[in-house]
Amino acid sequence: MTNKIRFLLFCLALITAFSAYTFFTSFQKTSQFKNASPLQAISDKQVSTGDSDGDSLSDSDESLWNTDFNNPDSDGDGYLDGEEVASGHDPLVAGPKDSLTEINITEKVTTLIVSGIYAEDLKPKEDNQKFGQALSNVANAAIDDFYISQPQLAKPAVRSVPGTKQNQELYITIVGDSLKNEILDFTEAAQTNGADSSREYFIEKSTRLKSIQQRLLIIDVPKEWLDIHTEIIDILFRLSADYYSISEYNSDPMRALIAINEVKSVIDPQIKSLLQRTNKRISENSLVPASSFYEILRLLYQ
Amino acid sequence: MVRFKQYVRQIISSDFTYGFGIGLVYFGYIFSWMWSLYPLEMAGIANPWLAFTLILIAFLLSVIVLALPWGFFSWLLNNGLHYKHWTTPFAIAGIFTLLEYCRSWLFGILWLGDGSILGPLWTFGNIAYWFSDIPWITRTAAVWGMYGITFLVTLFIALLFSTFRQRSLSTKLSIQWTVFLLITVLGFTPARGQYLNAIDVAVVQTNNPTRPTYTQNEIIDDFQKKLTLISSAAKQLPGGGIILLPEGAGLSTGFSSLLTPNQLREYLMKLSPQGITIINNGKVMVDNNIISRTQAITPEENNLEYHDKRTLSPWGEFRPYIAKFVLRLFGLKASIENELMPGYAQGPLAVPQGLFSIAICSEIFAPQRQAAEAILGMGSLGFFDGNTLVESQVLSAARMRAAENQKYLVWASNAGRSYFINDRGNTIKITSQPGYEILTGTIVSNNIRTWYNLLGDWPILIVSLAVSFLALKRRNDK
Repeated sequence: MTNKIRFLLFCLALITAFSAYTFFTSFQKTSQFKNASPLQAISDKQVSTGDSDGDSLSDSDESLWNTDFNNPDSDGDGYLDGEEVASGHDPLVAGPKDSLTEINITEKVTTLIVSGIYAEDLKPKEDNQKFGQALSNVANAAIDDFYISQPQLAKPAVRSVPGTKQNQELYITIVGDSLKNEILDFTEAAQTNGADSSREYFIEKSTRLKSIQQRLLIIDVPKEWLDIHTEIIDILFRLSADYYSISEYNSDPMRALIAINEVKSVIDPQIKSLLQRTNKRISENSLVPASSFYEILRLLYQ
Repeated sequence: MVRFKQYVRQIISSDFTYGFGIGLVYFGYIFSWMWSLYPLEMAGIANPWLAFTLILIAFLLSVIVLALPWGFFSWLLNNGLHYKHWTTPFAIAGIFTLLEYCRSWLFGILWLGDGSILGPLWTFGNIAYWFSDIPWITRTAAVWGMYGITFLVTLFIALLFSTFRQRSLSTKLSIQWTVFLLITVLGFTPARGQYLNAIDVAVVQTNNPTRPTYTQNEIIDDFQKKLTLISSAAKQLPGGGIILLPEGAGLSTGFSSLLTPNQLREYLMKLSPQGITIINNGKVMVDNNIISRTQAITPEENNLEYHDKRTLSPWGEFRPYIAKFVLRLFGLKASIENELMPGYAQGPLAVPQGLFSIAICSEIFAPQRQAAEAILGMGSLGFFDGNTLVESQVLSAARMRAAENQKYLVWASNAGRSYFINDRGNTIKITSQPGYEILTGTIVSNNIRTWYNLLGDWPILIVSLAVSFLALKRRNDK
């Protein structure tokens, strides 16, 4: 046997060993998946129709999702299991990348356009107007996809308290101190330190906003501020999701663009309107909050 | 090569040394403010010995390089001129003026870097600045600029020297003094144009030392202080006017975070229904470059007037190649975060109150020749810890720029004092000390275009070149 043949046989043996290893590894993964079946969880556990942990997900649904009956937040990401299921998120995977309906908008749009051209439904050279209209429709569908796939906020359970002056001042001071660093963000990191740090910046921002939202969900809210409080929670939730989408600009640039547009064109004016109304209400109720943030608002909106 | 070395050795051992030595002492004093940069923590350098070494290198190189033309001048005095001819004092003035002009290029060439722009931009230590307190001398700057004053002062000294040497007034001396007086009278040639409007201006002076980073709370507190001062300043401008902020005030970020364009207009109208324009400076990102931009914030829709800083300070705003080389020798990161690049827009700012030329900090040392109605300057001494020597040099330069263009000039400073200068180059109002403060005053805009504003330094440089050439040629003929 020549050396050449020996070498060839050695290579074949190596490839065979690698294939066998890969096969067994994938087989093991399939077995694990089978073990994690929600059906098995249903059969193993005593199913009740109540909601033992008060997370808005009934015990029977907990079995279906394979979540803990006695833990309202099974993945520990700050959202109740019921909230996550209602908003299209996996209650067993900590966010932010836990959406059950994750759609890569860029891929979808690209596929639609390329296949349209390939099937000759879209003819860019022959009919510009029709082609433009078709692209416009695809873009609109992409925007729809964006909103469908964005997480939805379940109606928050807010702790309401009487609207005494003290309660109101305490409330707006907490809110102001929580939000001022996010609203008045003077950092230039996203602009100056390259793509990698920009991604980290947006992920951090998304996480921070989510954690502020969680904090604000458990504070006492005076009756007079319930409407504004609900709006703040909603804005924080949407902003957190949008910044996460922006951070994914490498894998889904179209989603990031739509998210940027939502932040700049929809949420940003909403925040500014909210700030103006907040300032007006503070003035109307003669409140003196202990936060420099409101002094800035007073100077700008007076 | 050997001949060249001998030639250089000959120069250094000869009369070159006198001028060079005097230059070393003079520029050693002029650049002594560099030591106020120590310990360079604001530039992100924590090691005090490294900071000391870097400042020492910057100081020595600046002083040595800027003293070279003076050494060359003293060598030429004794080796290039024929003293007995009546034109010699004029040639002396011409040569010194030309060398001073060349010197204004040297600082930029020495500290060349990615953010550099070359030109006669760095007029540190020009002797004309020492005469900014003498109104009739400063006034002539409107005709021939600071180099005209340099020429005149040098000529005066040369004539005095010539007179004392001869101890009697000869015909030659009479001719020389007569020509000197004629030139001086020429410096009072009036300019065409007329005065336009009285404009009320309020300066918001701030006090932020330069540091690598500020906490969010510190920035927010500073923003609040600025808004409070703007609110007070607006009350002092009942008929509307201009609110001028210093370099790096950075109001735009706060405004864009909290106000929609409509809300911003409402805010400005509430400040004063008569119309307020806020002149603000901050960093912006353009084409992946960070530039220092001055913007006019007005109640008008679509007002996009801005001016970009082009003469950037080496070391402070960008790292020169020499600095990068030295830092690499020490194994340190050579570039600084947020290194600036020269901007693009240089035209005067058109706002409802008029047309204003803008000078951002170090730009005040460079010629300002825009066709504007007044000059607005914004500076920061935060990097120099409010050093009074830098402050006095900036003030002298600002007075010269006002006199050259016959324009009112308002200077808003961070970590230094702010002032109003009239169209003759006189300081008419100044804050008593650095710190958060408001300074209000009235300026009068005009559309006067002085001879200097129209022609720049060329006339005096051509005259200097001509007399120098004639004198040197005569010496060769001899």
